[in-house]
Amino acid sequence: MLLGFAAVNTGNNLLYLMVSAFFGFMAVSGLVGQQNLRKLSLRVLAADDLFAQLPGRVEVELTNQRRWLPAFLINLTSGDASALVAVLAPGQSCRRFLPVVMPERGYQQLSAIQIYSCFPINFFVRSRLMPGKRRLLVFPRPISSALPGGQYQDQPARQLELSQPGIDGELRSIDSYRQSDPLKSIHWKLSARHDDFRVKRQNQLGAPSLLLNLDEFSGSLEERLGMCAYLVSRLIAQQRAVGLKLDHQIIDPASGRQQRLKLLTELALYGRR
Amino acid sequence: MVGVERILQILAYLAALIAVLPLLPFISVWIPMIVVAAGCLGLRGDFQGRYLLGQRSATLLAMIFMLQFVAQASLSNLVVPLINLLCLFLALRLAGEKLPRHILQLFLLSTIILAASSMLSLNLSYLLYLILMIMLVTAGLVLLSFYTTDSRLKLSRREWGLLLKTIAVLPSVSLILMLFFFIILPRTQTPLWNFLNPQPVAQTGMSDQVKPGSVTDLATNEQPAFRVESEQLPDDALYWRGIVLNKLEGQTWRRSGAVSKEEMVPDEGSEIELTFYAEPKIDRFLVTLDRPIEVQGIHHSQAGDSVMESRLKTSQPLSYKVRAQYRGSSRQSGGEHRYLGVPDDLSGRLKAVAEKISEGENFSAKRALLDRFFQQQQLSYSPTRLPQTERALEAFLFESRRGYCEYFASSYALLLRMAGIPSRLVGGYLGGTYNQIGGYYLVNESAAHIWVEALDDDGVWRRIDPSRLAINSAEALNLNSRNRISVFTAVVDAALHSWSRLVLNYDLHQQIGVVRNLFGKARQLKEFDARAWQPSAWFLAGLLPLGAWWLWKRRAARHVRLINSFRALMAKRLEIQPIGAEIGLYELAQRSRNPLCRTFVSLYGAAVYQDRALNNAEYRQLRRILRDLKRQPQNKSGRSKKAIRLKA
Repeated sequence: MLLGFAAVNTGNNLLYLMVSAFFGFMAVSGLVGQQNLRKLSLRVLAADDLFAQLPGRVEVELTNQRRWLPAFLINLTSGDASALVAVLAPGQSCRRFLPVVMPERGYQQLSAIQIYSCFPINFFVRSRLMPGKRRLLVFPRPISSALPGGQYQDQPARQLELSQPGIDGELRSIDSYRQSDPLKSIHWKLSARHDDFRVKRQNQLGAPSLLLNLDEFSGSLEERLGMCAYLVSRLIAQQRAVGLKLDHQIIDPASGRQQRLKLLTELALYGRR
Repeated sequence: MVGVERILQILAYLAALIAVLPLLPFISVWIPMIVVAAGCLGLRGDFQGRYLLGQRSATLLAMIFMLQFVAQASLSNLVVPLINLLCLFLALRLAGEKLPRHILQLFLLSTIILAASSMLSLNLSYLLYLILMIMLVTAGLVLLSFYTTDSRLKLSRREWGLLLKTIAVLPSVSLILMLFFFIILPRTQTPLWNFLNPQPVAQTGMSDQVKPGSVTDLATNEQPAFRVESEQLPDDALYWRGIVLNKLEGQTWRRSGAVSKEEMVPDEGSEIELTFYAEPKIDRFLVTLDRPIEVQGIHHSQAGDSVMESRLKTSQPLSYKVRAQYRGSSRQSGGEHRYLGVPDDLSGRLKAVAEKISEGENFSAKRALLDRFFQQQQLSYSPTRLPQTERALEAFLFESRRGYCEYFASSYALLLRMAGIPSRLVGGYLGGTYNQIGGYYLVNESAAHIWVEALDDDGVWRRIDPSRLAINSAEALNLNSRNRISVFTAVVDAALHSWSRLVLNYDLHQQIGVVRNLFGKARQLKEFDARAWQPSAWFLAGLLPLGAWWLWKRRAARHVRLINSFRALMAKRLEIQPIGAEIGLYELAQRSRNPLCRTFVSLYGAAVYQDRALNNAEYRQLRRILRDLKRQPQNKSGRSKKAIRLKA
């Protein structure tokens, strides 16, 4: 402004040149700033550890769908949470975590996600609300609890021997070494007597399956769901096979990450379908 | 990983350097020394993280500098104290801590100082400094936005590459847009603050009187007098007419205001249009090509003897157009006796020569006799050791026989008058250096010249250059016109000329001219002549295959195009925007539950996933499947939206 005022009043063409250059810069920076927020898409990724009323985080994926122009200084905000993407190359995606606390279990709507950027110059901040699905599955708030009746609570996992190949059961057979075999399975004494390496094949140790019955827990519905959610997470972490009985629905016991998600999902959506 | 902060500091120091450099010839030496010392202090502080100059000390010093400025400044002495003050503020900022707002202040101060330097000099080097400053400031402002967002941000080499490419675009486009804004930004008829601008100092000009020795001083002055844009002219046509001196008083030729009207004797074949760009002068006479017919673009008056005079006296550079005929002349209509006056106290030797010349029967014979007399005298053309006595012309002709153009012209015209031939002196310039690159003549002050015009028997004024009768005229006179400048000199001078013509002299009149020109062009478009554009059309047609080849080279491989189309179609059908890289083709086909999709994926996978290129039959089949998929309505893709959501 000052330079423009000086240029007009002095008629000095060198000042006009400078003012023109800065006008040009303002024009091109405005255009670049506007383009910086275009053709960006955002995806909220499914979370497997988001519990009601507990601090958690949501992973979002920002994709730059432009062909030439990178995206710079993109701030992602949802409620009070924010994350920064400094540089995102054209055609590339990147993921960021947004800390959240969801009040209730079930399918919950994440606060509107806004992107804003001060690029290229920090005089103006442009922002844009990102469209798209923001539905999240929130599991019940875990409440520490013992198993109804106290059975199996603190017993170690190795109780049943399964007739499946494993690393911690009884010896099944002695075989020749294959590349997929772990080194610790090599039987060194036997190998010394043969021309090739020999490995021990063992059975797998398992634990007895458990079926959690929601009705066997005491307290309000939310408390009982919370206790079930706590036990599901804890028992599956102990490699136990856990099932669930919800009213007339029975989910067979199994172990592993998928089973955990399945059970927690059922608990999250109990009575909310 | 390279931090943003360090690079930002370097840019700020460079901006300060660029701001101070153009000021060096104009400000006291201690100002740049203070700035450099402050820069060194600042650098030390940047590395150690501890600054000797605190915020309070800086504020106190700034107030002292301000008081000093108030004490020094006045309306007649404002610019230099103001620039000194700005430089001292810059030094304070350089020496102190560099928080984001301080770096912004550094860029701002540097920009203002560079702007202020235009109050001291209009040199072309300003453009270079301006371009550098724009690059530094734009890059600095962009990095500042990164620094403000996250001061600990570190970027990888690849991220720096992406950022630098984008940063490079900003000043480049800004400088292109600068040209556009420079043309359209509003200008005033008369600047209100013109006193702040550097005033051109006119030191030379055409005097309205000539006496022996008065032109000699200009012989060594190599300052440009004017530049003329025109086609290249014959060497003997390069007589630039300025003033006509028609009255002889003693040894001094003067211009008398009473000039009778002369009728132009045209020579259509030598008519030419020229554009003059004259440097500031102390007189109002406008230089033209001998003989001028018309002057445009400047308020002027035209005397009967084709002398043009500007109505306004200005110390600014002038530009005007001239239509002239270099073989043209004029016919005197009455008042010839005014051109016959001679002093009373002429010597016997001169009278004897004049009597001898008078024996000639007509103009040509008398002129031939006079020419022969000059040649017999073995006169040499020289700007040094010239006679400066009261009878300088007589001494020149008979004793020293050395003289400059005014000696030759004065004595020749005097003898013509004594022999009864009306004559006068014409002051102007001779020759010039043609700049092939710029397409203009550069005429220096050293080319100032005096020649004679004499009235022939038909009453027509004839140009006679007596200096050409000197024994060394070939070397002395034709030096300028035959002088060929080096390519480097030509480029530099063409750049200076363009700078002056396009930038420094651009004003409201030219702005209006540009608008008129645009309207004129728009009118011409209505009368579009296809034949005139034929060469351009052929050129573009020649470029088309190149463009097509470029696009062909850049296109993706055909299997990539197929799979992109397929994924885009699936994204639309399955309402997944966008489809992430983690969802494979087989999973997409499974999710779609569409047999066509499964066929497509299995056919594609069988070829591409086994490192085999698609053959033509497979390619055609895949395209057919895609076409069929696109034709299928969305609700027949195999399942309901609810099912898709559950699966997802």
